[in-house]
Amino acid sequence: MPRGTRNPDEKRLLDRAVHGDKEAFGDLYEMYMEQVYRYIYYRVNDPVEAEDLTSTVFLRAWESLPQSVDDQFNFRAWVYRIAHNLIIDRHRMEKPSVSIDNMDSLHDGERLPDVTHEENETIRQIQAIIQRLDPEYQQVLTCRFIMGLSHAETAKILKQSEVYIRVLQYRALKKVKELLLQETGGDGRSHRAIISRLHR
Amino acid sequence: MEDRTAQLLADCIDELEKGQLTLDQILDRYPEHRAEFETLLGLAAAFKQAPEVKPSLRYRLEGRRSLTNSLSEHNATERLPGFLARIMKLNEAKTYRFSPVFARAAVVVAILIFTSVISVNAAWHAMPGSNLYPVKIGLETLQLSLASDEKDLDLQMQFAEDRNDDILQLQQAGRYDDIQIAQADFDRYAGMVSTGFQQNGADPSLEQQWDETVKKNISVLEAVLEKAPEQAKPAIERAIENQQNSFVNHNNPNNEQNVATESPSVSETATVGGNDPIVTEAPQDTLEATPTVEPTTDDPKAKPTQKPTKEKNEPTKGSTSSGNSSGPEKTKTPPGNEQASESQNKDKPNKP
Repeated sequence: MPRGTRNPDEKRLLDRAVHGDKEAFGDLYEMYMEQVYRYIYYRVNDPVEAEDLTSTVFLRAWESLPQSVDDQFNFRAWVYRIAHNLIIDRHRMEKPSVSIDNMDSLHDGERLPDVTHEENETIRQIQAIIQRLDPEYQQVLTCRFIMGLSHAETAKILKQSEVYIRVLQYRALKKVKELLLQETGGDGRSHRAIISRLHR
Repeated sequence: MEDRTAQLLADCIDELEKGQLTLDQILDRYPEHRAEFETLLGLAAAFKQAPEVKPSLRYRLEGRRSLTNSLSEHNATERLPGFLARIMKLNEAKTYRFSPVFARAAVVVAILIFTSVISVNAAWHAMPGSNLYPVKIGLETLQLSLASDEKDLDLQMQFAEDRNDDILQLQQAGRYDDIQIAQADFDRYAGMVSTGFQQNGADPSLEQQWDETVKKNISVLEAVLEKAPEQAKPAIERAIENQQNSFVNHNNPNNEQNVATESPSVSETATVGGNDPIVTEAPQDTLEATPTVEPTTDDPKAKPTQKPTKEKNEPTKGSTSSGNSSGPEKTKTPPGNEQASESQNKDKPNKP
């Protein structure tokens, strides 16, 4: 399913799920599982943990399903928010600190099965950068650019105004730039090199 | 300034996402931000090109089945009443803060609080003779202990009035045995009210109100008397006489004849089935606070003692053992008596 679009069957499945239809909820899971996994994976840096958290997100979603859903209810934004809260919880317990220099030591043997070696390197660099940001910045960058959500959808997940999301996005990108400059000792050419590596 | 720059950058990103303009074309629109935006847009584009990632094949194959198998356990909250289910579910934005153990403990605490509230609520409506009636008296005692001195009298009068209502309901139910308990408590509160009038001075409006309550008690007892079994009638008659005496005494404090009453109240002697008068066992927690002694048969007109008798084996002047070693000793405490014993003061709960 393309990023950011809403499946027309979602409402029908949700109606069934809120009445206890587990198969309908299973269909919703199929619909959003990979997106949620992707969202989590880029923020936790561990494929196994990302799978566990993805399952937890949907279990919590099932437990917290409202009694009824209206047209305004956005299931995707809702599960992303649950995922965000889970990740925040995880960060509270264990605040990771990863620099680009030592990111190569991470995930030895944990390469994702469906990505090339180059893609894997790019993923690691993005993860290393994201993990050094404040959760709010992580959230906005992940939603906006990795998940491809609109400003409006991101605002809904973060429960903020769109204007604030635009400001947050600006600050987050500036922070990334600052971190890259720090990592490369203020060498603008180096951080552009990293960007170009990310682009690759 | 930052807000404006942020809006401009967001517009640039939107343009890039549409794919209709190149990066240079977009940057040309904002020459003053070109240097900054070039890097930031480059970063945004880099993030946007983050590779697709997918969970492992095993997870993709088994994830759904594993999830739906787990749903039945997690869906157990659906069977709980609505508010409990909501406690279990909480707000999805906050659930991560609570472990399942904590959530279940919260439900247990909620159930305990809920049942306690139900029990207390039921106790407030308990009638004499029911298991919860002592709880009700305990709650009244607690309420009195927490009330200010000014409120005490109001509450005592209110509780006495409540006993009148209890007696009427008990009579309608034909529960003459339990009427004794209600009348005993009426007498106890009447003693408190009388003491209160003596200590705090008489407020005419309150006195008038109290007169009405005593009158009502008399009329209630008279109504009970009409339909009471023959065995119970003498005791009820004596209780009525007591209330009449106390009423006269209250309104004419100089009437020495009424200083001490002769007959034990219905609460002390009434019996339905037996021939021998029995000492009424009021609820334990109230009787302990209101020891009274039946008048000795040798000196039935003896005045109640002025001093409280704390030791059961040391009867004070004017009071003797009832002769029933198994029963509690009682001090006669007619309501409205100006020389009411200090044992009445013991009825008043200690202020915390």
